[in-house]
Amino acid sequence: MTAHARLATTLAAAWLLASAAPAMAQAAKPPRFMIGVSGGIQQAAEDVSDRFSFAKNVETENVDVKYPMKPWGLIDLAAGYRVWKNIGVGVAVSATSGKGEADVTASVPHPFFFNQPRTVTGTESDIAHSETGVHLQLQYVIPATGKLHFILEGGPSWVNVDHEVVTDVTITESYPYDTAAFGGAVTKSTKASALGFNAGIDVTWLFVESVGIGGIVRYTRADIDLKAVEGRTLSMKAGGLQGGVGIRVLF
Amino acid sequence: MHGGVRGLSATMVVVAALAVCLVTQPIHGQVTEGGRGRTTIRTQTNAERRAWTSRIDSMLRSGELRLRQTREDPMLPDRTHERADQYYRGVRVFGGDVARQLRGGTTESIFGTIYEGITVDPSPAIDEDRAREILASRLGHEIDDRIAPELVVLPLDAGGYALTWRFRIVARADTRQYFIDARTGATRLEYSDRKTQAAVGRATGVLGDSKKISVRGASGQFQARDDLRPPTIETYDMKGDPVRTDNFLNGRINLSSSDLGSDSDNDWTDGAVGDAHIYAGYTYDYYFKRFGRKGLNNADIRMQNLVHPVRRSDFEIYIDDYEDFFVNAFYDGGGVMVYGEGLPPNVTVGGQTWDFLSGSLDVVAHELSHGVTEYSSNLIYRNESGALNESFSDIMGTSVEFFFQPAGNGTLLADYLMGEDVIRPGGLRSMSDPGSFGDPDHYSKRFLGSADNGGVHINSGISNQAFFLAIEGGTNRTSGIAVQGVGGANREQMEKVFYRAFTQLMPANSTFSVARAATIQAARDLYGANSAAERAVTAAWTAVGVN
Repeated sequence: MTAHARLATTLAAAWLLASAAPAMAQAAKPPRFMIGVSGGIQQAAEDVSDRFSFAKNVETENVDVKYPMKPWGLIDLAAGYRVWKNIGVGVAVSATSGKGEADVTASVPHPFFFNQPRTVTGTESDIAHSETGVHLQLQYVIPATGKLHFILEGGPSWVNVDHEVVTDVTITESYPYDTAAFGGAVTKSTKASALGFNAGIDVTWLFVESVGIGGIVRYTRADIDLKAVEGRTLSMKAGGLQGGVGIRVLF
Repeated sequence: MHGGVRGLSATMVVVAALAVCLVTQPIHGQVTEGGRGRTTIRTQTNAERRAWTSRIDSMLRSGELRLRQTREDPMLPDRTHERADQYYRGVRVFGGDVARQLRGGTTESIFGTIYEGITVDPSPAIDEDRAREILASRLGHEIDDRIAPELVVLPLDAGGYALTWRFRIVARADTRQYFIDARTGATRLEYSDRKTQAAVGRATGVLGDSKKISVRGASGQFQARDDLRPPTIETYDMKGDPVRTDNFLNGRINLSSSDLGSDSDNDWTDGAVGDAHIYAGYTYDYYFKRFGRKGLNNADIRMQNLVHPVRRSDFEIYIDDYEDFFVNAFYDGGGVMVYGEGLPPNVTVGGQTWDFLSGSLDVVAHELSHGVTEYSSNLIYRNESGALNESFSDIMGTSVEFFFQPAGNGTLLADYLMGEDVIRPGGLRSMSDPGSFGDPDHYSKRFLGSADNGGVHINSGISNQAFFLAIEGGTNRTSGIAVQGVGGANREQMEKVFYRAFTQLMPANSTFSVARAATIQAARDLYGANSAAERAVTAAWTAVGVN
């Protein structure tokens, strides 16, 4: 199941649950403020692929890099204010970071002969990746059913990515140079940010009057262009499906 | 009490000053450069060794020197070598170091450089992050945080010292050392730290073909010196000076790097230089890949190619005295090859035009194979052994051609003609039909005169024909005997058979008969008794009348 499909399923289920809730219980006045802190994971939107070339041995060396995106740890801080009836506004800040890998495949021209490239493959580990998202949200606060509170939310996001990008490949080779081996990758930490969007649902179960536990499911997405070196851009779909649980304060 | 302390302090200052004077007095075995505080240590006498040992030990105790490395001597078992760096108040002095050889704990020699009179404040006003920013701004690109600069005291060429951050930046184009002043941020020194720059360029050959060339980048230009292959391969441009060429070949002068063929943009257009250089590399590659041989002497002896020994425009002037420099290529011994210039376009020999001799791969491989013979069987260059010597070079020349070029008729294609790419039309000799050039294809037709050292370039046709038949098969025109060859797809077998026989089994004064026996033995060694290879080589020799 893709991230999009998971999101759709999750949101649909949440909507049904939230829609049914008022019929099952007496409506209660929604709280004016919501503050939440969650921890969880973020499943990235998709793996990132890069391809770059440069002159080598009077030919062109092509390098393909794939950055498999893993679930990263997530911290999410959120606050909401109900403005009018069930409509509110909110802001959330999410941060995720971790270490991944870069799978490198290079086609390295032979130093003596044209059209006899050597294929080199390898993996560079400890590729640092972090994202920070600021999510502005228009919220719809579903009337509570007893201790259960739902907030549907969505809006624009500003996402900043700090990603270690492979800028060069070192190889080991020796005479007669008919083969070469991966020696390592030269990387560079690069930052970029872009506007995107977010949509999700926050669920809270109050175990005392104003304090409860909650869960967040959110999908956020921003298209980032990382400029690793002059004249080369690495496009990345930042964000992804975020899920977390934590403490909520509603009042 | 205070007076006493002051008195004691004064005494200590005097003692310290005396000590400094003693220490800074020139010790025998040192050379001090006036005004720059640099002392070069080179001990030669026992007195010098004792004096410097004392001082070095003192500096090691005080921390002015820090031991960097201690190594056992791999050649002399009782020796140990120490290397120590000079430090000034905890900061390394760039270039200040000492190498001491110990023999059973006793100093045997000391060499080194010590800087004196350093007065810089060792606390940097600019931290390493700021220094990185300054250098990044200057270079126009970021510097990776993992590149950690080193705080060093830099002795300045003009005298004095500066506290600097030393960066070593490795880039594709170059590796450079930068010294950023830790007080002002100015670049105090920078230089390339890439010792040699092996470079790959593009060369247009004599026949207009494009190939890669392995050269050396030096001082803004590129020189025909191959640094990528194990042996040194150099190609010298003699610039049409036959006298100088002759003087070099006769040991009267040496050549220097300024004589190497060169190019300003690494897009080589001198076909004679490019092809001689590239094809020498190909020949080395062939011997290595096919037989595991490391060059002419199997120990990576230097290979030197000489091109342009004359100019075609000087044909009228030099043809009588230096004919070989026009219409010959030859191996001069010791890894030296000379490639003739060819002839002016309006001059032909026997209806053939002569281009630059280095433009033909089989010619280059032929000459280099004489070097292989020189360092192996050393076949005597006259009569039958001389013909075998020539034949081995033809065989290997042709084999190199087949290794690198597709088979076919025409230029830059592999065939059994010798020199056909540059001596047009037709080349010099044929292995498939020696008789087409007037050479014998059968032992009964061998040349018995004294010319050409007893027909070394003539009778080579007999063994050349045997090699051809052993691979391709066919019928010898003189004997009418048909041979079943191993086939072109198995040519490697016959190349190894002849290589093994000619370089490992045959003596210097071999005859054709010995060559027959040796190649049959080699075929048995490599492929077994009564193998297809043995049958083919046996039948081939029989077909050419050698028993």
